[in-house]
Amino acid sequence: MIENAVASGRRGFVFTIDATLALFLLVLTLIAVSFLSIQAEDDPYARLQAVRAAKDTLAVMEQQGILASANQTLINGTLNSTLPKGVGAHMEISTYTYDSGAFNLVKVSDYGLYAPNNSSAYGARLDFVGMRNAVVTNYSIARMVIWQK
Amino acid sequence: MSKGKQKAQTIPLDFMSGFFIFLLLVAYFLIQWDLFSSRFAERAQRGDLGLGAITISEMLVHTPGEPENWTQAPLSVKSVGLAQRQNLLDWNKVAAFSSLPYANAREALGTDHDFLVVIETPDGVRFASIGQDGNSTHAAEVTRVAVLNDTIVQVKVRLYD
Repeated sequence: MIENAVASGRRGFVFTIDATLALFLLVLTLIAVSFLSIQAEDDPYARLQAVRAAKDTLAVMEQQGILASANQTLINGTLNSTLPKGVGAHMEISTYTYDSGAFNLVKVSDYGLYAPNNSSAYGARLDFVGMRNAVVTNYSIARMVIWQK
Repeated sequence: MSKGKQKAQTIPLDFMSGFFIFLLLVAYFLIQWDLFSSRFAERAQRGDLGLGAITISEMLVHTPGEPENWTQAPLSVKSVGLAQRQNLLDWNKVAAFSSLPYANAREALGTDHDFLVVIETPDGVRFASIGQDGNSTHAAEVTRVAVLNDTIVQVKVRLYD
């Protein structure tokens, strides 16, 4: 066989299974180290902070009666002023009335901006009631989505 | 060389180029590993500070402190909290926290790091600034939103390494 290869001028290649395996392991290790190195740049608490910011804003707006007011200008202004700079927010308030043993959806209102498709968005929710003369008039759910602009 | 006893040999040029490529890969691995380990150490440090700042901000904005009426004897406070209820701050507690000596305040916050707590409106009108700026360039800041005296305020907690 070798004689035939030499005679015909063909060259031989050293190509063993253990060399292939070693190369595969080395490449795998390189990929893993590169991946971990990139991952280490991420802020581990970004998500936690974003969710806290959304929950705080909802709680504060509820305490100040801003959510219940359903005033578009006031709510948009408060979102802009209270959330950290560079953060976008969208809020949806679903309002229900309770009648004859069932909740009926009365309206859905949207405030703020809309999240771009390619962003990581985080959410928070707050349930609250609307009252008049110490009587509950409606039940609402505020859902906020925030993202880095 | 007899015809029946020919031996296979690797060509030195092939071997050298293969070895050179192997060395390149090992060098790349070592550089990446060094980069990764330094980034990981930074991340761990940043994470500790960040988590500390989040914990302190949570304590200040969401809890009344321990004991709840700690403003009556501020120096014996076990844990500082400024809230009447979640996200609603009590001005008396803010004032009492401001009056605490720095070392006591730091102990009551449960941290060994230098800290600075600033309470101001989103427009920058300052209600309180408690603590001191640290000398370190490494710091973590967490901003929380709350209500103080019927005004929406930002509570900024900064921890220094």
